[in-house]
Amino acid sequence: MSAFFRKEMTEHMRRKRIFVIGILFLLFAVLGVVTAKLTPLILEMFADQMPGFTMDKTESDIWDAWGQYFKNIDIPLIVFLILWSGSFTTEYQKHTLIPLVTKGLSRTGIFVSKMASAALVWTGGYALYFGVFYFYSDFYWGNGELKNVALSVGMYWLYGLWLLGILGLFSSFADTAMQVLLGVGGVFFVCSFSEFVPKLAPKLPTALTGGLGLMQGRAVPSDFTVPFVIVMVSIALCTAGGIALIQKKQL
Amino acid sequence: MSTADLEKIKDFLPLLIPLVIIELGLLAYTLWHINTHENYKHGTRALWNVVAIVGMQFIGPILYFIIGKEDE
Repeated sequence: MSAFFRKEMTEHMRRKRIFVIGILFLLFAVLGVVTAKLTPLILEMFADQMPGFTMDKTESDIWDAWGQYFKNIDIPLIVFLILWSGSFTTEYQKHTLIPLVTKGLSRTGIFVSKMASAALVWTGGYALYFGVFYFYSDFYWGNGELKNVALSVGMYWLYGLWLLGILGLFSSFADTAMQVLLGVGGVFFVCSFSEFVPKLAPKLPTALTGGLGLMQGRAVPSDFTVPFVIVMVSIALCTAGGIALIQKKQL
Repeated sequence: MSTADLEKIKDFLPLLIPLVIIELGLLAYTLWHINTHENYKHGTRALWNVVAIVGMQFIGPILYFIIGKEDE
């Protein structure tokens, strides 16, 4: 099983998936800071040309930057999920898992190794994103005011793991990468639309993307207990369901 | 350009320099990769050279590695 895990990681390297993910996370971290720094300058230029348009503030502050942090991370996460959507299904289509299973590798081992290697890449990419962003944020604004940094940033990481868990569940029975993506997208859209119900919104997994409030001190950690529990339970269910379903999957 | 403008640009240098280095490094690596490989998942060598250079601000190289590069 650990040999299969290593094989997975080697494959991610060889196919340049890790490389692309690394560049993307790095790029979006820097671009987030650039956007936060540029927006007031652009508005200022705009205000000069438009009589009657006045500016409240001409300098961007640290909250603009961390607002960008939680907004910008969406795109690398989506690219990550797209890149990994075919992780199982291309193997089903090419029947490359059959020789491994006949040689005694358990299907559970395949599922766990694949998910663990994907989770490791997400963790690494996200750590890079956070590290670069944190460095620049400290350089330009100073990070002294930030509250609950580890928790608010960690929540988004957990949110990524949750989407990855759903991706794993769909990968265990779907035949093509497109079906996997439609499944993950479907769950995401149901969640997004449920957010319009005010009572439901703070309980949904998507609430974990709201780390900014926690950072500013507008929210307290206990506000996120319900989505945290829901996400942990659904990751466990997705893993258990995925392991159960892949046993019956035609490889 | 006034000194205030220069100050603003200086403020951005710590962000711009790493971006430019990554961008050019990525472009060089991508062009090397395109021109040392015979087969692509989609497209041709000429097409990928053009895409990489025209979209050199990250999008070209990333597109190449996601949809152009053959599986090894």
